[in-house]
Amino acid sequence: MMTRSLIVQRISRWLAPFIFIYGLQVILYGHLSPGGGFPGGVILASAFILILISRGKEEAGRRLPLSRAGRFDNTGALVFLAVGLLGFVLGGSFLANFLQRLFPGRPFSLLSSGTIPVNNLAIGLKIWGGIFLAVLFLSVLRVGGDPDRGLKTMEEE
Amino acid sequence: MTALLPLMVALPLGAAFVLPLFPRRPRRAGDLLAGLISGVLLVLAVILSGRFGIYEIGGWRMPMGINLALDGLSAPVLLLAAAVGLAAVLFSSAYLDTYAGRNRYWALLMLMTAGINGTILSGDIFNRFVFVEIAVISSYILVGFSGRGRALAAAIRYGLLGAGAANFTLLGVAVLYALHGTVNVAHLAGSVPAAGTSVPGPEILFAALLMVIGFGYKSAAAPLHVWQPDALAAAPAPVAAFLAGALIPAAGVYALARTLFTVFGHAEALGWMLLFPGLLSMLFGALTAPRRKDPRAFLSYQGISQVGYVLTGLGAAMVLAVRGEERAAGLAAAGAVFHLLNYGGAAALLFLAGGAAAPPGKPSRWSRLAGMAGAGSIAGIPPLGGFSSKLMIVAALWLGGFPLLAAAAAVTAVLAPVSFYRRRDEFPPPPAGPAGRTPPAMAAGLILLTTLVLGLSLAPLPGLRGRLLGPARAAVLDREAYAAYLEPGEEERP
Repeated sequence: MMTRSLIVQRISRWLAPFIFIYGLQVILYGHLSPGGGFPGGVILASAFILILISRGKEEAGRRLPLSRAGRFDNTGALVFLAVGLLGFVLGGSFLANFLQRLFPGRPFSLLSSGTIPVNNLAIGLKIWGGIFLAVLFLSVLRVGGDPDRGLKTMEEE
Repeated sequence: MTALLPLMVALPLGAAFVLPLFPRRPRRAGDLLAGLISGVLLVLAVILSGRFGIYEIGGWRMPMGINLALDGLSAPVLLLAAAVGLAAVLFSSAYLDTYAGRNRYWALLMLMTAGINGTILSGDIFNRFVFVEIAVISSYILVGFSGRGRALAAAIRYGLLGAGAANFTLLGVAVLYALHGTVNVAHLAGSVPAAGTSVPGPEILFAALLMVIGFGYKSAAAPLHVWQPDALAAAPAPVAAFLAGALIPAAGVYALARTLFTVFGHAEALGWMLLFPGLLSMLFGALTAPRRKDPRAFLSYQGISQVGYVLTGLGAAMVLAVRGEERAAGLAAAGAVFHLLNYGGAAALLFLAGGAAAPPGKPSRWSRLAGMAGAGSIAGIPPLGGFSSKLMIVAALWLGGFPLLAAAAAVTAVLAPVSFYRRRDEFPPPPAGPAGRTPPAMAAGLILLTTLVLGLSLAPLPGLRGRLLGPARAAVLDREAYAAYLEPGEEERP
């Protein structure tokens, strides 16, 4: 593997946790301020993509294994769908906000606006896993390389 | 009853995301889940057929929210997609044994189903674009699912060109949004002025051309058909059936018809945008097919020719409606929708029958019977549905004052049975993938589609005409009726 300079490795190691926390903030406050599940999820993924770029796919695959990222992707989609179907059953319409009575919309209050934060979390989880997987796969595929071998070594890690 | 509409998308989507969580065990769970969901979808589609209405997701009113819409044009296509879907799923469960990654296959197939149903039902052009992409991106992978060189090459070509074509649709959506500030179909139907005999403004022509290129690629109309013969020949048989019988009719032809007729409204220039690729595909497909050695490629080119008939009928309907020839326009519109259904059912049936043939060249009894029904309908042999719908389109062209086009369509219609008859030994064609004796699940899929193809032949009978073809004709030609969906929610326009 190509060796990266010490500065890049060290700085990215410091930066990644802050990026991750910022992503969480964007997701959790998505119903109160600009942001939400999609941008937050991309930011979460970018923390891991930074590790992928600076310290190699082995290290990134160790922090977020392929199978776990795939599970995030599926679980996020399923939670979103479950909220939609619960709205169908309880609220009378697909994706109806059936938690609105319990947590009505209030400015600056984290526990508000019913199902929207739940959906933001679900989307965030899905995008986190999905974007990371997409970039990971792109990093494995090379012209002339053997894509299966790259993936297998990662699954073994 | 329209309260059930979101389930058409939500159920297969749920299955698509549950399945990858259990990659290996239990072994047959994927077959069961996919079969169950497809069965429920077919029942839902039958219940919903003949009911028209709009569904506002999350209870958000239309100017703001996303909506699903069911009308005389989307209901029959939905039914076609559900029937083809169930047949393909039943067929797959017996066909898949030689492939690795069974649950991955089911997940992709369910994702494609969700995308197709969403495409049909979506009430705004942006979500239709998204659903089309969901369906076709799953189909790229499914085409190459066998992992063999030829299949991968076809899938990659299909995918790369498809990604390019998607940009045209998206740009078309963007142009419409920039012009009218909405992507809702009912809203656009109320705000894009129908040009009639005058030429529409350059911005409308541009947007319409983008849509014709984007959706024309998906419907494999010449000259945008290059992906289709390779993809259909290399894909696993049930995937080829799903592509020819559900994806091309729904994400291609239906989406194109819905956009041009409902969003842009009737204009002679737009009618010619449909007529030109329609006539080209009709003639090109019919003339190229006999020269193809591979039976599946032969079928693919015949399919291009059938899509050409549908587009010709739709284009003629639009031109004639503008010229005030109500009767001929109605006949062309009904014939085009009817031919779309006949083509979808029969093409899917032929690809399935081809997959069930075993050993190659010595097809089993069921596949032989099913292949005869499918080939008969596509070739347009009376009294099968394909004959009636071609007759309707030819008659409409003649009545509407296009004797040359009518003659071309009639000659092509006569050529089709001849070229099918000359290759009668190959039908159903030998499969590209694995094959065995016709197991019960495969036979069930074949019987379902044979019933559909034969049942469709009855649709032009006087008693049944009003149930299927009448609403379809009205949905194609009556743009104001679609705009009227808006009435209850029409308060503040953004």
